[in-house]
Amino acid sequence: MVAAVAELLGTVGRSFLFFGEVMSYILRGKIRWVDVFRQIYEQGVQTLLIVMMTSFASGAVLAMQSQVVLERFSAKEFIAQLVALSLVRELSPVFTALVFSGKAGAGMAAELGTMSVNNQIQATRTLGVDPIEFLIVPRVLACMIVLPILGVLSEILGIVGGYVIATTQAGIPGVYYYHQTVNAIGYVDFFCGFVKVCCFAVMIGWISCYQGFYTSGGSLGVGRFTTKAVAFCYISVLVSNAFLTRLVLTIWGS
Amino acid sequence: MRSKDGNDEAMIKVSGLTKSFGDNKVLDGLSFEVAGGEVVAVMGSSGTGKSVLLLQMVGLIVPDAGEIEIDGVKVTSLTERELLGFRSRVGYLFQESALYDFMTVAENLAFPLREHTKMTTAEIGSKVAQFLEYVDMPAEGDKYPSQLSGGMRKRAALARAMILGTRVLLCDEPTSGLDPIRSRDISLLIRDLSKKLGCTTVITTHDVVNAFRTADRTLVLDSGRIVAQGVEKDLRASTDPFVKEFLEG
Repeated sequence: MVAAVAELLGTVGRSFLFFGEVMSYILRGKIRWVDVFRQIYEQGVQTLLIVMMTSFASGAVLAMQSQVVLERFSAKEFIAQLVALSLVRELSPVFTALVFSGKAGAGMAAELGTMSVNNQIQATRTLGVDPIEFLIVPRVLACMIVLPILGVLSEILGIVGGYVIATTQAGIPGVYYYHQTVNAIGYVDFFCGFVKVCCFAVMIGWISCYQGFYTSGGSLGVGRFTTKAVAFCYISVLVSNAFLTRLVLTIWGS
Repeated sequence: MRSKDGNDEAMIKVSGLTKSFGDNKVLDGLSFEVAGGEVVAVMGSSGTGKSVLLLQMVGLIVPDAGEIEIDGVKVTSLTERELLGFRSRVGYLFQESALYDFMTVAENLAFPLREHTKMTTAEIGSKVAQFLEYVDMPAEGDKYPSQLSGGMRKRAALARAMILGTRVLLCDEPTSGLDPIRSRDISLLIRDLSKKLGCTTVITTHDVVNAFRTADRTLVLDSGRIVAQGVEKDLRASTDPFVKEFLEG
């Protein structure tokens, strides 16, 4: 029991040191931009289509359910507000982060894990290059750039999904839906979601890269550490979302 | 130790090196020297700390006690930042080759040049072509490591390890996983390139035939210490029971 707690504390401490090292490179501007752009491309390509599909579907489902509930109160003209605010403040940041964890996060952990068990990370050190700077910083930074962009895209596509359902099934005029959406979303609503997705991006980059970087145990280890990376990302996103929601409500009010 | 070129100065000095993992003491006060330009093989059974020795020589594992000096630099007293600079002067050939999967062979070879020199793209291209020629892979530059055989990956990794003009080359089990013909080829290639480029080379192996084929001198490691050393004739004449059993298989 004592050994398990000591190991857990050791892992937590090491992961914070790892994160500190990554951030120190970023803050000192020691960034390999070519590698960052390659990672942005890879992570973006990996997740763009799936984020677009899930976001559109989420917005559409939200509109369908809203229609059912709001019609009971003769308030179906508020579908646009409900869809827009739900997506922008809450659903899009969380859904996008979860999808991103499962695709790009798992991809990063598996790629780094394979490099680790094949000694490519050790080889980087023997070539006189810091693997944190060469392999980790570009991935974490790309995460911090790609995920917020995907988050905003997800909000837009979710709203479009809601628009399609509201105009075709609920009989709400398109112009009316558009104006209701624009009037509903304030800067505060947008930034509530944006701050969250930025925090999720840092966590996903950190957790996925950390798990991949310290993978051991051959091909079995790659599978185990990749699964751990995705599970920890999911837990971190969902748990921190509760705290972040309380925080933004405290700062910006409801 | 005097090298062939008469240089008395040892390029590598290992003294009193001790390393344990838990209760398992893998190195127990190990000491030896390697002269400039010499090719030395370190032989021993699996798990006797041969790879640990090499990893300590480039500061990737910290010894419990003892000192390592390479080319006048005390490796054991360098900081992590200083070690990065130092490692660019030492070539390291991994057992698994450890080429980057996401780069072609030519890009793998160009990587250390891009990182540590101010060479132009054309100069890098010409240097890469020269080293591909050295390892007899002139037409394989555009291939990815996954498209190469095990022997070719080893040769490409050897070229990457030596391309910076390193004065010291460390090879961890270079013949591991290769058939006898490929093992002979890579062993002779290591020897030829080391001599051609004036490298001081340490090879860890349990491949007796290729150790004698490659090295000027062979050290036999048992229980964390050197139990015998010399050329093939000296070792064959050894009365140490472990050495006799090891050589006779």
